[in-house]
Amino acid sequence: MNQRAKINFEVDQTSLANAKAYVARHGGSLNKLVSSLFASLGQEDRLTTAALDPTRRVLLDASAGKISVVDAAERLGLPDAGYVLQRLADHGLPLPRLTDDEIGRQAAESFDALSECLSAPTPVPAPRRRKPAPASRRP
Amino acid sequence: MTRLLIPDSGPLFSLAAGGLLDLLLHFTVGITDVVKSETIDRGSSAKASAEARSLHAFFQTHLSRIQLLPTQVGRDVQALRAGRSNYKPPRNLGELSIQSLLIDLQLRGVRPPPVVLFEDGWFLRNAPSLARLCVLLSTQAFLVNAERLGLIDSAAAASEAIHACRPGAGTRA
Repeated sequence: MNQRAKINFEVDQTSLANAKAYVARHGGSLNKLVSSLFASLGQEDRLTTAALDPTRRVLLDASAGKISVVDAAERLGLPDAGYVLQRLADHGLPLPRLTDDEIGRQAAESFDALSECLSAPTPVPAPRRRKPAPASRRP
Repeated sequence: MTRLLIPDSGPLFSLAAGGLLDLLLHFTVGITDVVKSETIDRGSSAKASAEARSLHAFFQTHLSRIQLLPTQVGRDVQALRAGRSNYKPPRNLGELSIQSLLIDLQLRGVRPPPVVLFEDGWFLRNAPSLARLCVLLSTQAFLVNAERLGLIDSAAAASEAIHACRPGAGTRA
């Protein structure tokens, strides 16, 4: 039997939440998920050529960001990309996602430009006034 | 001059999946002819997904507030389709149409350059190779900024709604 070893590593919170949600949907544990990922490293070619059906392979490519959802729809013969989003959800596959750092960097760099795309000044919500109770209900 | 926000097809489907299309109404939005055919026009089909139908209905309702942007790529594809019934357009056509538009805008000296919204996966594939003719923005970063602008309560909740992708749960091809 293989000896077990413990490791520590850091992962961003969104990825961790995604992994926990995956485990919740499919059963198992984070430990098993990570172990199986490590065990599968280097075996991608065998898995993709032998074990995956063409539909799942296209969905995996879309989920990994290798192809667009529009391209995936065409490859799967679906009427439009909306079905790809639904298929991904059905298969428990996440949409491609950038790292939190990359998203934060992009958001910071583009904020001013995006603000200039606003078609009208953003309305500031007015503070709510408490409505007085009707006089007839007062004792 | 107001800067233009140009979404690719992927983000439009994502926003439709999350019930977030109204977010676009806060911005000056332009859609290329090819992106329109990949998204909005598909929604008129009897077999359209719920997302495509939402896009179609959204566009019909807000026709006057969305700019349609013809492109050289769109015109060429239309001519090829008219000439050959079995014509199969190249992949990533929506993206090509946006690049065509960006080159055209630059040649015409249109300032400021637009903000282009791509799906997150696009950045994983292409961002390092694209010339900076515009400001690039992923869907997730767009949602973060929409929250900062006070247009949505929570980017995380909006992202979750997109990933849950359930407005069209009753529709299947």
